[in-house]
Amino acid sequence: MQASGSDKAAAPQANRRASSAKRGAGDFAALLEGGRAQQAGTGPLKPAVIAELRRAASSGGRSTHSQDSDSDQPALQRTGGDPAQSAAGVSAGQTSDPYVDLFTSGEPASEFTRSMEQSGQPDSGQEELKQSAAPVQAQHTEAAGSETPSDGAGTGAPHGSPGAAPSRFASLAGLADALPAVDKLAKEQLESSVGPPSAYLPPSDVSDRAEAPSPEEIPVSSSALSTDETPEPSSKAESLSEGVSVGEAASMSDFEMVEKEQAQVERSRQTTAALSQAVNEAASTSGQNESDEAWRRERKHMFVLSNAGKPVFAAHGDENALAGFMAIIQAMMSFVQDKGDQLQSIRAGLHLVVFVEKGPFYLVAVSATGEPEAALKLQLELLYGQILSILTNGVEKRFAHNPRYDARGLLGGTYTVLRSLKDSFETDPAAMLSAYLPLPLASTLRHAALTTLQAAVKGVNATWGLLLAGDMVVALAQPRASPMHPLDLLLLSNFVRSTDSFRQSESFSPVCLPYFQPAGHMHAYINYLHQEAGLCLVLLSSQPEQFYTVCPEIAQAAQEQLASTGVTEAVAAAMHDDAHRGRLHIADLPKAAGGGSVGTTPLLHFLYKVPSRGQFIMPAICAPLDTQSARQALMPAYARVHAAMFRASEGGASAGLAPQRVHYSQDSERTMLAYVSPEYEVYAVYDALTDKQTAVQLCHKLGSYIKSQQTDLFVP
Amino acid sequence: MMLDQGTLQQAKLVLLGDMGAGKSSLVLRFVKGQFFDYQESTIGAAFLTKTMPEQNVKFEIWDTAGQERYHSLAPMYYRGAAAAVVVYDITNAESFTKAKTWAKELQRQGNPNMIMALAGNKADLADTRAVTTEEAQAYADENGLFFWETSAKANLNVSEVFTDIAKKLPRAQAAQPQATGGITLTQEPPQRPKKAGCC
Repeated sequence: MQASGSDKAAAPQANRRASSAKRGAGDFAALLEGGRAQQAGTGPLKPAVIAELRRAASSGGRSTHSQDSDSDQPALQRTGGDPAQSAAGVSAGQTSDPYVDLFTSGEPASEFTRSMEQSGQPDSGQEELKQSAAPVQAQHTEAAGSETPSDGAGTGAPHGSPGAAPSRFASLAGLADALPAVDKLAKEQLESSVGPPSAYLPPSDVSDRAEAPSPEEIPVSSSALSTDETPEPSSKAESLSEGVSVGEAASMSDFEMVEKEQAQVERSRQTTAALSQAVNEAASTSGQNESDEAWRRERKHMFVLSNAGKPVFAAHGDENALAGFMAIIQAMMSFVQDKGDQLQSIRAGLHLVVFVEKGPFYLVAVSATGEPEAALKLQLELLYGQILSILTNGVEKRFAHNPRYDARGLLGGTYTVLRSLKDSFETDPAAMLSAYLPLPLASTLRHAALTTLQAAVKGVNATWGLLLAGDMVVALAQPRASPMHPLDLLLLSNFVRSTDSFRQSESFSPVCLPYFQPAGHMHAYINYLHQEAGLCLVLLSSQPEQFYTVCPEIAQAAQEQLASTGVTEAVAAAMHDDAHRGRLHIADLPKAAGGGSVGTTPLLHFLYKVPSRGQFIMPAICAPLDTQSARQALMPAYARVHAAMFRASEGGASAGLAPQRVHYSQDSERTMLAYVSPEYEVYAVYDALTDKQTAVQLCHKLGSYIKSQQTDLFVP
Repeated sequence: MMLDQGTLQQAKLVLLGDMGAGKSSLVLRFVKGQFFDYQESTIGAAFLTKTMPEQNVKFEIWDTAGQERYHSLAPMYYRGAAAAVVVYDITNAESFTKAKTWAKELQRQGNPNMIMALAGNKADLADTRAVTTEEAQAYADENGLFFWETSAKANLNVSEVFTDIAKKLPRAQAAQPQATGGITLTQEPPQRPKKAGCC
């Protein structure tokens, strides 16, 4: 586990996190214990009773802890401390996927489990405890300081060397065992914050979240989607129900309380077992979940859940069936947050689990693809961006009103968009490079396309206009003052491409460009001018008045013009080639620039980015990279090189250092050379036998060839 | 594009209803004669046109998305519409409730002369019916809506719904002007969309 160490940055957020995590944890506790809150009865809160409660809570916590470590946890292991265990977790063929054992294995003692256990002790209460300032808690907060997150060694382990992989996260199995502890924690927090009724007012962060960003230059309809129109049942109801269950607890005698504590410890153990069973049963009725073989074999999972633990999206499987699994993720994340820190990543054998918190959502990637953490984080952020592109950040207000809001209703019909984005990460380096892929097109045709597009944009008074062909850009019309953010373009292009209903007829849709203005949406007009080629006109406007009436006519004119100038034909011809879909072919490049058919050139693939244009080009994938395993390995290989070069410049302790300019690496699969300069960036893949000198020479020649062809290759 | 159809009466028609009721399927059946067993969810609103020469009408059809998140944008689509088809799924009682809500909203906020039709779609699934014909018919009569039980899949009563509407369109009003982006000369107030209606 890696945790962000900067206390300074964490401090202002700690309160907010603590409060939302508490709510979340409460949810989770309720999930595990079923009807505890149903026995609710109200009673006055007497200070003496409260103090007793706290004492009961702390003793109960300790007993949980000792029980845990006695019965389930053989020993606390440091990295690689127990060879037998690491073998069981990682090397043994059948368990090479740690999820195999998620609920079934009794193998515990990962370091994560250890920290979960510590949560059983009341020392983690933090802010709330300090606020209540009871003597019982004073000693605990003291202890909290000594608890340090584990070092980052686990994530630094070289990829693809299972033997060296750390054992402490070799299996997440320990999680299931740790659940009682989490439940304990939730309970404690609930009780420790017993106080005057004002403690149950809606969290103070509501106003923060609802705060609207300052308006941008280009007007955008402010948060116009229904997300803020019909507020869910207000948080008042939430706080009421919480208050009720606490009131019940406070009115009980100490003795009853202690007994109840112990009973609950037992019960939550049982319910943990029952939970996994229930989840399995749910799966058989409603869809794939984590106990499904095929599901576990997926190389990469992505999950989105609300910070109260409600499932929002799962890239594979059925998010309803995965509710139990998501609850575990929520427990993990909110637990670390309760310590004023943030869970960053977990390395578990071949799998890297990466956590990101965005707005009211937790996003998690579980990847065995070999991509580095930075790449997965970016992908999760884009996934969040795509959700915003559909809902705007008005969705955050909903969650502010009601943290237990179920966002799936709002996202209805757009899961294909999110899945398509996730799939695109496997083949498309656009996200990593933060640039878009232009369709190669003769400059005269490009000019004609651009003229047509600009006329259309002007005709409908739009802000931006795009002409897309599949996942490539034919032309882009944008105001000089506010060029479209490359990641906005990526999200928009994915949104358009993956929505089948746009293919059936011209359409209008609200769409938010989160990197431009997350609070509002633009009106998009989408018209496929040529179905087979995937040639699609997209116009974006912030003013709906004329837009809706004028667009169809203007699009008709544009379609005729593009056809008469030969653009449509040229794009269709380029896109007709199934294998290449408009991309360059390495075989067509001049020999001097590394071109040539398979076997005659060491150059296998490359990425060439021009930062000033925000564009990159790459050739089609061809032999010998066209096998499934080679395809799957390509983007992660690029991502590792990219991360290695840019790690220094991506914040953290070493922020401010210049990235590496040249990167050369060779393994049994491929030779990679990357070169970064302010004018251009090249990432090239050669066959494994290429020597350094050849690689560098080819890279130079390729660069100068592309430069000479740039009018055709890039969008002006 | 529309010059040669100058004699045709143009009418803006909007489809509203719960998601999954079959709005897009109805429109596709009517406009293109197609039906897909698995119809992708509509995102935003689709725009289609269909000419009915025998009725001398050109429909400009706005097929809206049924999802909750688009609700606040609906006024933009139904404002200035000459006709609306409110669609529900006869196997889903909730969609009928939603249809009544839409009808109410249109009566309250839409064009007062709007012609409205109620379509109980998926009539081919009568075995699993959750809304009786009588109940829907009674509601339609009460509120002055045309009522048909339709099936886009079996092509049952689809064109009838639109024919009914076409016949009812007020002949006196020539071309509904909001169609082609020209300057609106008649009925200015109802067609001027209030600033997005959403913020």
